[in-house]
Amino acid sequence: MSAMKEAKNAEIQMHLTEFEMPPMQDIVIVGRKAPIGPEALKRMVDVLSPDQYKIIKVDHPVIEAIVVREALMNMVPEEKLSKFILEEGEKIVDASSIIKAHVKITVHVSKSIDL
Amino acid sequence: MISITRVADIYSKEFPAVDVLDGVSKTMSFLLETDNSCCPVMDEGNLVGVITYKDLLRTHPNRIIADVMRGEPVTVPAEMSFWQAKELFEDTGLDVFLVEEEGRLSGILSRNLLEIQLGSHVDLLTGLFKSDYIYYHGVRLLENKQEISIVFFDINNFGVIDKTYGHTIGDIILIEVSKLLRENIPTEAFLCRYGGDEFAVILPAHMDEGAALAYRLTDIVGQHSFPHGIDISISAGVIGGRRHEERDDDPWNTIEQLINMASLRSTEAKKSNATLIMAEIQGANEIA
Repeated sequence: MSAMKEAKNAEIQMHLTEFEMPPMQDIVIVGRKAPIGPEALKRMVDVLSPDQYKIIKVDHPVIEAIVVREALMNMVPEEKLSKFILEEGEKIVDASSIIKAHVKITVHVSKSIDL
Repeated sequence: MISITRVADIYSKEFPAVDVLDGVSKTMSFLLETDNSCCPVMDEGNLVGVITYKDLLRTHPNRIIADVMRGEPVTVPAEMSFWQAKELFEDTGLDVFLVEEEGRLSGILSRNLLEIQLGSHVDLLTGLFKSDYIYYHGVRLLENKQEISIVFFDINNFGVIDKTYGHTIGDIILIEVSKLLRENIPTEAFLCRYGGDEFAVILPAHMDEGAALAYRLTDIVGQHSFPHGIDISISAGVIGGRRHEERDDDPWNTIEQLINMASLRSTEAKKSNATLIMAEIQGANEIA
C-alpha cells in the first residue's frame, strides 16, 4: 500500500515596468457608464500632476467628458480640439469605456517677409 | 381662515450627509440603512450638492459621489407653500431641494416626501384637489395682478337625491360631475372639490369668460345621463376682478372673501332657480 503524496508549489512571475507619470497621456475620453468618472480622474491627476489637466464635459450620448492636458490647448483652441477628439473618439468609444489617447500637434507656420 | 401647508410642515429635519469622495456602493448602503432617499454632499465642510438614490442607481457602482451628484442644489425657504414647492419640482425636474430656515440650512425636501403629502390634499372620492389648491393659485394670480374669475358650483337638490337614492348613488353622481368638470375646464383653470356637493374653479381670465364657462358646464352636466335617469343640474355663482396695484391687505383674506361671495351667489342662484348669478366687484372690476 503506497502512501499518498501531496505537493503544493507556487510560481511567482514579476513584470517590472516604469510607472507612467501621470498614468495617462494627453487625453482621456470617459464614457457615460465608465467605472471612473471625469471628476475622479481629474482629482487623481491633480494629486499626481497638479494643474495640468482640464475636464471638458460634453453633450454627447455616449461620451460624458474628455480630460485634456492643458498645454495642448495653448496650441489649438479648446473648441476645435474637443470637436476633433469627439469626432474621432466616438468611432471607438462605448459608454462603459475609458480611452486614453496620445496626440501629436505640429503647427506649420509660413510667413512672407519683404526683402 | 384657510390653512395652507408649508414646506416647514413636511420637510426632513434629519439629514445625514455623505462626502464627495465616498463611493456609490457605500452611499447606497448608507441611504438604505438610514432610510433616506437622498442627502446633501459635503466637501471639506462645505455643501457642494445633493445626491438621490435614483442618481446612484443610474451610475457605475465604482464611481465617487463627485461624479454622480447634482451640483448647484436648489434651496427653498421653509415658509414656501406646499403648492409652490410642487410647482418648483415640476419646473426644475429635480428630485430634492435643500430647505433653509432663519438663514441656515435646516433640512431637505424630497419629491417623494412631497408626493406622499400630496395624498392629503386630494379628495379620495373624486380625485380632485381640495380647496387649498385653488386658494394657492388664486393668491398667486392676485399677487401677479392677473385677471381672475371664480366660478362656484353647487349640485341642486343633492341632499334630497342622497336621501332618495342612497349615499352610494350620491357618491356616483359626485364622481361623474367631477369628471365632467375636469374634462371640460380649460387647461389654464384650477378646479377643486370645495366640500360636499360644491366645486370651485379659478380662471386667469375676465369674469365674462368665467360666466361663459359656467353656462357651458351647467349645460354639459344638465345633458349628461346619470344613473337611474336622475336629473342632475348645477347652479353657479361667478365673481371676478383684478388687483391693479400692491396692497397691504392679505391676499389670502381677499381670496377667501371672493370664494365666499361666489359661494353665496351660487346659493342665490339655486334658490331663485337661475342657472347663474354673477357679481362684478366694485363695478370697476377691481378687487378690494
